[in-house]
Amino acid sequence: MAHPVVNPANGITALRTLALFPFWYAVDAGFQQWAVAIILIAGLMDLLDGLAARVFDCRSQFGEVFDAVADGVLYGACLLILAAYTWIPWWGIGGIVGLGIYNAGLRFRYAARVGKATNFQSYAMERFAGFTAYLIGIGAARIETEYFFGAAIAIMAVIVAYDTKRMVFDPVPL
Amino acid sequence: VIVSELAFYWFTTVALALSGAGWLVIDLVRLRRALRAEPRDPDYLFGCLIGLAIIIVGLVGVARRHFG
Repeated sequence: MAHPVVNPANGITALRTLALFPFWYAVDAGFQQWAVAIILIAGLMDLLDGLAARVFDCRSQFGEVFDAVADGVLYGACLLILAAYTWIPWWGIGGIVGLGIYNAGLRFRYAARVGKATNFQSYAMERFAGFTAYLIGIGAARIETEYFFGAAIAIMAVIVAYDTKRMVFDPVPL
Repeated sequence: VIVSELAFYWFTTVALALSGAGWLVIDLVRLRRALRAEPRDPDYLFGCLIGLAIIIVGLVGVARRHFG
Protein backbone atom coordinates (compact mmCIF):
# COMPACT_ATOMS: atom_id res chain seq x y z
CA MET A 1 0.00 0.00 0.00
CA ALA A 2 1.40 3.41 -1.00
CA HIS A 3 2.03 6.18 1.51
CA PRO A 4 -1.18 8.26 2.00
CA VAL A 5 0.67 11.59 1.64
CA VAL A 6 3.96 11.02 -0.20
CA ASN A 7 2.94 9.21 -3.39
CA PRO A 8 3.01 9.78 -7.17
CA ALA A 9 -0.55 11.14 -7.38
CA ASN A 10 0.03 13.82 -4.73
CA GLY A 11 3.39 14.63 -6.36
CA ILE A 12 1.62 15.40 -9.63
CA THR A 13 -0.99 17.47 -7.77
CA ALA A 14 1.76 19.51 -6.06
CA LEU A 15 3.59 19.99 -9.36
CA ARG A 16 0.34 21.20 -10.97
CA THR A 17 -0.01 23.95 -8.37
CA LEU A 18 3.43 25.26 -9.38
CA ALA A 19 2.01 26.02 -12.83
CA LEU A 20 0.66 29.20 -11.22
CA PHE A 21 4.06 30.95 -11.40
CA PRO A 22 4.86 30.44 -15.08
CA PHE A 23 1.22 31.28 -15.84
CA TRP A 24 1.55 34.58 -13.97
CA TYR A 25 4.82 35.32 -15.77
CA ALA A 26 3.24 34.56 -19.16
CA VAL A 27 0.25 36.86 -18.50
CA ASP A 28 2.50 39.62 -17.15
CA ALA A 29 4.72 39.43 -20.23
CA GLY A 30 1.71 39.27 -22.55
CA PHE A 31 2.66 35.78 -23.79
CA GLN A 32 -0.92 34.74 -24.53
CA GLN A 33 -0.11 31.46 -26.25
CA TRP A 34 2.20 30.36 -23.42
CA ALA A 35 -0.50 31.19 -20.86
CA VAL A 36 -2.97 28.97 -22.73
CA ALA A 37 -0.37 26.20 -23.07
CA ILE A 38 0.39 26.27 -19.32
CA ILE A 39 -3.30 26.05 -18.43
CA LEU A 40 -3.74 23.16 -20.86
CA ILE A 41 -0.81 21.31 -19.26
CA ALA A 42 -2.24 21.97 -15.78
CA GLY A 43 -5.61 20.61 -16.95
CA LEU A 44 -3.94 17.47 -18.32
CA MET A 45 -2.06 17.01 -15.03
CA ASP A 46 -5.41 17.24 -13.25
CA LEU A 47 -6.50 14.17 -15.22
CA LEU A 48 -3.13 12.51 -14.73
CA ASP A 49 -3.14 12.63 -10.91
CA GLY A 50 -6.43 10.73 -10.77
CA LEU A 51 -5.00 8.17 -13.18
CA ALA A 52 -1.80 7.86 -11.12
CA ALA A 53 -3.87 7.34 -7.97
CA ARG A 54 -5.61 4.38 -9.64
CA VAL A 55 -2.54 2.89 -11.34
CA PHE A 56 -0.33 3.09 -8.21
CA ASP A 57 -3.23 2.28 -5.91
CA CYS A 58 -2.54 5.31 -3.73
CA ARG A 59 -6.00 6.85 -3.33
CA SER A 60 -6.42 8.45 0.08
CA GLN A 61 -8.69 10.90 1.86
CA PHE A 62 -5.75 13.30 2.10
CA GLY A 63 -5.23 13.03 -1.66
CA GLU A 64 -8.86 13.94 -2.37
CA VAL A 65 -8.74 17.00 -0.11
CA PHE A 66 -5.31 18.00 -1.45
CA ASP A 67 -6.59 17.74 -5.02
CA ALA A 68 -9.63 19.91 -4.25
CA VAL A 69 -7.52 22.51 -2.42
CA ALA A 70 -4.92 22.54 -5.23
CA ASP A 71 -7.71 23.07 -7.79
CA GLY A 72 -9.16 25.92 -5.75
CA VAL A 73 -5.81 27.63 -5.24
CA LEU A 74 -4.59 27.23 -8.82
CA TYR A 75 -7.81 28.07 -10.65
CA GLY A 76 -8.82 30.81 -8.19
CA ALA A 77 -5.43 32.49 -8.45
CA CYS A 78 -5.38 32.16 -12.26
CA LEU A 79 -8.78 33.88 -12.47
CA LEU A 80 -7.55 36.68 -10.20
CA ILE A 81 -4.41 37.12 -12.32
CA LEU A 82 -6.45 37.28 -15.54
CA ALA A 83 -8.79 39.86 -13.98
CA ALA A 84 -5.89 41.90 -12.57
CA TYR A 85 -4.38 42.17 -16.06
CA THR A 86 -7.86 42.94 -17.49
CA TRP A 87 -7.84 39.85 -19.71
CA ILE A 88 -11.25 39.00 -18.22
CA PRO A 89 -13.88 41.41 -16.83
CA TRP A 90 -13.73 42.13 -13.08
CA TRP A 91 -17.52 41.77 -12.78
CA GLY A 92 -17.12 38.23 -14.12
CA ILE A 93 -14.84 37.03 -11.39
CA GLY A 94 -16.72 39.15 -8.80
CA GLY A 95 -19.99 37.42 -9.66
CA ILE A 96 -18.48 33.94 -9.54
CA VAL A 97 -16.61 34.54 -6.27
CA GLY A 98 -19.65 36.25 -4.68
CA LEU A 99 -21.96 33.37 -5.54
CA GLY A 100 -19.26 30.93 -4.41
CA ILE A 101 -19.02 32.59 -1.00
CA TYR A 102 -22.82 32.56 -0.66
CA ASN A 103 -22.85 28.85 -1.59
CA ALA A 104 -20.14 28.07 0.96
CA GLY A 105 -22.20 29.87 3.63
CA LEU A 106 -25.21 27.76 2.69
CA ARG A 107 -23.16 24.61 3.22
CA PHE A 108 -22.44 25.68 6.80
CA ARG A 109 -26.15 26.36 7.30
CA TYR A 110 -26.95 22.93 5.89
CA ALA A 111 -24.42 21.26 8.21
CA ALA A 112 -26.08 23.09 11.13
CA ARG A 113 -29.51 21.77 10.03
CA VAL A 114 -28.19 18.21 9.72
CA GLY A 115 -26.48 18.58 13.10
CA LYS A 116 -23.09 17.17 12.04
CA ALA A 117 -20.24 17.83 9.62
CA THR A 118 -21.50 16.66 6.25
CA ASN A 119 -20.56 17.05 2.62
CA PHE A 120 -23.50 18.41 0.64
CA GLN A 121 -23.30 16.88 -2.83
CA SER A 122 -24.33 19.04 -5.75
CA TYR A 123 -23.87 17.37 -9.14
CA ALA A 124 -24.66 20.65 -10.88
CA MET A 125 -21.97 22.53 -8.93
CA GLU A 126 -19.47 19.77 -9.78
CA ARG A 127 -20.23 20.34 -13.48
CA PHE A 128 -19.79 24.08 -12.98
CA ALA A 129 -16.41 23.52 -11.28
CA GLY A 130 -15.28 21.75 -14.46
CA PHE A 131 -16.53 24.71 -16.50
CA THR A 132 -14.46 27.10 -14.34
CA ALA A 133 -11.27 25.39 -15.54
CA TYR A 134 -12.43 26.01 -19.12
CA LEU A 135 -13.16 29.65 -18.27
CA ILE A 136 -9.49 30.18 -17.42
CA GLY A 137 -8.44 28.81 -20.80
CA ILE A 138 -11.12 30.93 -22.48
CA GLY A 139 -9.90 33.99 -20.55
CA ALA A 140 -6.26 33.32 -21.38
CA ALA A 141 -7.12 32.87 -25.07
CA ARG A 142 -9.41 35.94 -24.84
CA ILE A 143 -12.31 34.23 -26.56
CA GLU A 144 -15.62 36.14 -26.20
CA THR A 145 -14.81 36.72 -22.52
CA GLU A 146 -17.78 38.99 -21.73
CA TYR A 147 -20.21 36.51 -23.27
CA PHE A 148 -18.69 33.47 -21.50
CA PHE A 149 -18.45 35.11 -18.08
CA GLY A 150 -21.96 36.58 -18.34
CA ALA A 151 -23.35 33.15 -19.21
CA ALA A 152 -21.29 31.52 -16.44
CA ILE A 153 -22.74 33.86 -13.81
CA ALA A 154 -26.28 33.20 -15.07
CA ILE A 155 -25.77 29.41 -14.89
CA MET A 156 -24.14 29.61 -11.47
CA ALA A 157 -27.04 31.76 -10.19
CA VAL A 158 -29.51 29.05 -11.30
CA ILE A 159 -27.44 26.35 -9.55
CA VAL A 160 -27.14 28.38 -6.35
CA ALA A 161 -30.91 29.07 -6.35
CA TYR A 162 -31.61 25.34 -6.75
CA ASP A 163 -29.08 24.39 -4.05
CA THR A 164 -30.54 27.06 -1.72
CA LYS A 165 -33.90 25.31 -1.99
CA ARG A 166 -32.28 21.94 -1.25
CA MET A 167 -30.13 23.13 1.65
CA VAL A 168 -32.51 25.56 3.34
CA PHE A 169 -36.04 24.37 2.62
CA ASP A 170 -36.03 20.68 1.66
CA PRO A 171 -36.17 18.15 4.48
CA VAL A 172 -32.73 16.89 5.50
CA PRO A 173 -32.01 13.19 4.84
CA LEU A 174 -32.04 11.02 7.96
CA VAL B 1 4.88 33.15 -29.79
CA ILE B 2 4.64 29.39 -30.18
CA VAL B 3 2.63 29.26 -33.41
CA SER B 4 1.21 31.82 -35.86
CA GLU B 5 -1.90 33.82 -34.88
CA LEU B 6 -3.94 31.90 -37.44
CA ALA B 7 -2.79 28.51 -36.14
CA PHE B 8 -3.52 29.64 -32.56
CA TYR B 9 -6.99 30.81 -33.57
CA TRP B 10 -7.82 27.48 -35.20
CA PHE B 11 -6.26 25.45 -32.40
CA THR B 12 -8.33 27.19 -29.70
CA THR B 13 -11.51 27.09 -31.81
CA VAL B 14 -11.17 23.38 -32.62
CA ALA B 15 -10.09 22.51 -29.05
CA LEU B 16 -13.15 24.27 -27.61
CA ALA B 17 -15.51 22.71 -30.16
CA LEU B 18 -14.08 19.21 -29.65
CA SER B 19 -14.11 19.38 -25.85
CA GLY B 20 -17.69 20.71 -26.02
CA ALA B 21 -18.68 17.82 -28.29
CA GLY B 22 -17.02 15.31 -25.92
CA TRP B 23 -18.77 16.85 -22.91
CA LEU B 24 -22.07 16.74 -24.86
CA VAL B 25 -21.75 12.99 -25.44
CA ILE B 26 -20.87 12.33 -21.79
CA ASP B 27 -23.77 14.40 -20.46
CA LEU B 28 -26.26 12.92 -22.91
CA VAL B 29 -25.29 9.41 -21.76
CA ARG B 30 -25.59 10.51 -18.11
CA LEU B 31 -28.96 12.14 -18.81
CA ARG B 32 -30.24 8.99 -20.51
CA ARG B 33 -29.17 6.89 -17.52
CA ALA B 34 -30.69 9.38 -15.08
CA LEU B 35 -34.02 9.35 -16.93
CA ARG B 36 -34.09 5.54 -16.95
CA ALA B 37 -33.09 5.12 -13.30
CA GLU B 38 -35.75 4.00 -10.88
CA PRO B 39 -36.28 5.89 -8.62
CA ARG B 40 -35.12 9.03 -10.40
CA ASP B 41 -32.62 11.25 -8.63
CA PRO B 42 -33.82 14.81 -9.35
CA ASP B 43 -30.51 16.34 -8.22
CA TYR B 44 -28.49 14.18 -10.58
CA LEU B 45 -30.96 14.96 -13.36
CA PHE B 46 -30.57 18.69 -12.65
CA GLY B 47 -26.78 18.27 -12.79
CA CYS B 48 -27.07 16.66 -16.25
CA LEU B 49 -29.28 19.51 -17.48
CA ILE B 50 -26.81 22.09 -16.16
CA GLY B 51 -24.04 20.17 -17.95
CA LEU B 52 -26.02 20.42 -21.19
CA ALA B 53 -26.66 24.14 -20.63
CA ILE B 54 -22.90 24.67 -20.23
CA ILE B 55 -22.27 22.82 -23.50
CA ILE B 56 -24.80 24.99 -25.34
CA VAL B 57 -23.11 28.11 -23.94
CA GLY B 58 -19.73 26.75 -25.08
CA LEU B 59 -20.84 25.86 -28.58
CA VAL B 60 -22.67 29.19 -29.04
CA GLY B 61 -19.49 30.94 -27.84
CA VAL B 62 -17.42 29.12 -30.46
CA ALA B 63 -19.99 30.02 -33.15
CA ARG B 64 -20.01 33.67 -32.01
CA ARG B 65 -16.25 33.83 -32.23
CA HIS B 66 -16.10 32.21 -35.63
CA PHE B 67 -19.11 33.80 -37.33
CA GLY B 68 -19.82 36.79 -35.11
